[in-house]
Amino acid sequence: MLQRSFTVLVVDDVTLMCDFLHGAVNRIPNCNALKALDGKTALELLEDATIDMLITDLEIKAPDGLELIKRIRAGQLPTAHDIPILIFSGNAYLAQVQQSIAYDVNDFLVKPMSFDALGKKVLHHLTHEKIIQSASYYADLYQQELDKPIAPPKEPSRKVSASIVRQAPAQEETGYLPTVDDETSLQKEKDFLSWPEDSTTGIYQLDRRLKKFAFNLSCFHNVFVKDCKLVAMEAERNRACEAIDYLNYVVKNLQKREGRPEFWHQFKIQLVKLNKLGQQLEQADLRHNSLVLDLLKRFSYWWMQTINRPLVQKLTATVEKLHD
Amino acid sequence: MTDSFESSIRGMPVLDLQVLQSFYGSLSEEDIEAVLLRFYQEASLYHQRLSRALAMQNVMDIIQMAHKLKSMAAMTGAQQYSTLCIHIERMMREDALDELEMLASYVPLLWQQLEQSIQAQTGKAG
Repeated sequence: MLQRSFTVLVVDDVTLMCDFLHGAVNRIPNCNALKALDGKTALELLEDATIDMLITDLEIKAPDGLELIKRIRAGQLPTAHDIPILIFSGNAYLAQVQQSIAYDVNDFLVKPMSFDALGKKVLHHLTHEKIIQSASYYADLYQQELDKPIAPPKEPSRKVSASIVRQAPAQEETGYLPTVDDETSLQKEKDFLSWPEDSTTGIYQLDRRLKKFAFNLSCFHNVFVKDCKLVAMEAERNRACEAIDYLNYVVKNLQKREGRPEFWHQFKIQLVKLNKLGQQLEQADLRHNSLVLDLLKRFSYWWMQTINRPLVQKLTATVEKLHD
Repeated sequence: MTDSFESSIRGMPVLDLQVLQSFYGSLSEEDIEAVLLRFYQEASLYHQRLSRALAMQNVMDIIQMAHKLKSMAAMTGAQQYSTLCIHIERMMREDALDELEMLASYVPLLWQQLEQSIQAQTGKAG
């Protein structure tokens, strides 16, 4: 029996499952369940309410379950970073389990599960404390993960892409792709979209999200031009679209915190254009070669418009401006 | 794979309300009807998306829809359909595209059977 009342946030994008979790938790005396069908709503609830426990599916609309977990543990939300977190998922893939363990998730519940079994698990974790590290420990871990994509050879998704690459046929001249320089093989591996060295928007988090988008779209470009299997292209496309979604989410939050109305006005104009391209990418038939090539060309054009002044400036210029 | 799928669903009920009861605890007939109808409403949309994704060979959508459907169907007692979704998701994750066409042919068939079972059950309750 619980000695005080607890608020449990349940997150699942399948309404039936979400209602099931909600019902199971609400059955427990002194437990009050809040529900969210996507990561965004979950974040809002985590920001506004005092949450004592999170039960989440992993595969939910961005930010996904793992992302929610990382942000809680890293202390990026008003909710206590050491609350019990239970994953409620239909799959237990090794990579997900490993990451869950790294962030000290309390339990991994595999769907489907009965009301009674779920109730027992919830009670157990509300009454048995697990030792959780300090928020700064997870924040460092999270930061390391966010920084990882910048180092191309070590990026896991890129490794996956490489493993399913078929023998590439002779490259056709596409006209729009970044010119393949014959000088060095290194240059041939140059990213489709790259962040200009020593440059910044002046907002570190925004830089990071833009770099992530550039990386993901470059991966998609990579698998597309190398004529990889459809499954690889679909996966990379999905990641690129998620990076756009997340960029939108971050912009919305940063806007509230940061000033610079003129900057945001111009950035949002660019963001609207990017969202349109993102929608087209999401719906594109990847077997339609010329259509995708044309779309990539427009992404490239968008990138060139965005990573230059006035939105992105050389770091030295920004520092000088600060000194002035 | 198709043989193993066929053998895995042999003798399995299309809709097993005992399974539903075991997940939710004791439910009245009205409650059962309500859960079945909610399942049907939501699963219909996912089923349509799965069918479209299969026709288009949209891998990500196939995985996502099969993933969602397998758990909700299992929890509702729609065992055959759940097993089918488990097989589809597994094959897609293993990149076994060659097997997919054979298995995809079961999707409308098993859904139709499930639909009929739900209708019969909810009709009975009503």
